[in-house]
Amino acid sequence: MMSKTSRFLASRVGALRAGLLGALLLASGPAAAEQELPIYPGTLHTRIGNDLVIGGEYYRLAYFTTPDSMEKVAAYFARRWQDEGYPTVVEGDMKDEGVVSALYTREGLQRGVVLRKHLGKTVGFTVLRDLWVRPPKKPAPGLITLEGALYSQDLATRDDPGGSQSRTTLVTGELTQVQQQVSAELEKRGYAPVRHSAMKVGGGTQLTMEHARKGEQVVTTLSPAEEGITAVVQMWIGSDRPDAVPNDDAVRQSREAWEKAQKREGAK
Amino acid sequence: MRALWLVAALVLSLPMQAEANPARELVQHMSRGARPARLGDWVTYRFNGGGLRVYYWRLAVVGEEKDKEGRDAVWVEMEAGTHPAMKSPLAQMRMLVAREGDEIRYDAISRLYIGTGFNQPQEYSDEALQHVLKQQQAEAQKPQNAPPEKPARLPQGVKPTTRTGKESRLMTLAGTVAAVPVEVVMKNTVIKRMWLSREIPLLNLAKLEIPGIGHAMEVAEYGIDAKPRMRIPAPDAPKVRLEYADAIMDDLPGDAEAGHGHDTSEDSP
Repeated sequence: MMSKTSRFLASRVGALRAGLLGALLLASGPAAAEQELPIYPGTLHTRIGNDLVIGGEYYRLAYFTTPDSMEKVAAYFARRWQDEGYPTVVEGDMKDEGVVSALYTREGLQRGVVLRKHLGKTVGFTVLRDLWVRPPKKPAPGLITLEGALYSQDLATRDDPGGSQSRTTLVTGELTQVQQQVSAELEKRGYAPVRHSAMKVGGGTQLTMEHARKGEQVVTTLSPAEEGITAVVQMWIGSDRPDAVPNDDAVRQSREAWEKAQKREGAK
Repeated sequence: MRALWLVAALVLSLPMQAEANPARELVQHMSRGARPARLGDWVTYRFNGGGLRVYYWRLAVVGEEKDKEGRDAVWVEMEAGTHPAMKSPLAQMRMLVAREGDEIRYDAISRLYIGTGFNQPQEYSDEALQHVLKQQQAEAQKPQNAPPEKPARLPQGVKPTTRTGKESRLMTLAGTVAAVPVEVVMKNTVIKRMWLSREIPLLNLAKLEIPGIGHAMEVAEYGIDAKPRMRIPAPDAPKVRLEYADAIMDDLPGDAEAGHGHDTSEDSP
């Protein structure tokens, strides 16, 4: 049996040991509630979409412009987050580009600002990223996975009733070859070609194709990125209505509105 | 009273030579108001490893309840981060540890939550917790079972000594406190210097220095109003569980037992 003295000492030693464990963890390392985007004072911030799903993670984005220098804007965010005690990282040359981001480990959030120069002004994209909550996987049957993809990124909106989703892909292959691959795959999935157009952009040809299947639309834009590489942007919309509300929802909403109107009439 | 025992044990465990009773000053200091750990006690230390290697470590008693064996137990939170406010700690730990009288038994953990980096904190399953505790126990027993190591050879006639100073007012990041210095000295060189203070809750440690390597640990803040801060996951959230390698890979070479016991987390992002 342990004596009181040694147990008491062991308790302290245990606490110190646990502290050292914490230190080791520190050395080895960097909510769904309504959370604010970072704000640069004295500027107007414009939201980009609502809640976005980029690469399977929730994001909120906004942008602002300011005549202040990139260094000044970056220093504002870096100093603010560091003073508040958040681990903060500053990257970039602060002439053409800069990124400042902070981790909110208690809430599972990352706040950041991406800075660029545009027409002599500093443009800032403020970002709020959810590190804990993952969106449910919503299948987008009209988005196809291309062979030989060098890069692919998906973008969706959290609360878009039409369930629109986009996929940007850089794929090896000439434009015509990739176009044939896209068309063949879409037709195999039951999408019929509706129209297509080609236009000259910056010396290259940009091709836009539209396919449809019942109430769904897929718009695919292909353009040559560099020799032997084609950029493909696919947008799938789960509705053929201009407001992107799915057809069955639109019919239900219309019926409910009509029933309400009838009740009001009856009450009079 | 327990603090007195701590002090006595601490000092007696150190090499002694210069003073007949180096613990006396400490015992007298602690006898004038040291108290056992209580609910709400918290202390934050600043670790300085030299250069930019500065971080903070916080220890707090944030709750009381019975553990599953019916013992009195307290919830202890530990956090480590780069800022004393710990708004965004880089490591978090919350554990339910048994309490025997005034003593917190840091070796008797019955529940454990861990959060590292920006990952959501997760609770350890019973099996994973037992595995970790067993590993710690084995680690602690290793020196007892191992053959006695030859002590490092010191120059002839040189022995480390321990000396305590008189109680003095020590300026710390958390304010000025009454503290007693305890030094381990080799010839005229101080190997380690500690200031122990009855005013500092939980560890009674105000400052620790290892001058030779430029390391220091100093109390940065303390208080008696600690509240739980870890965001506890929902009860049905995935727990950290053991994953058996030999169950996944049939032809795993070597002892099957050796393949056991990789603690891992379910559905971690």
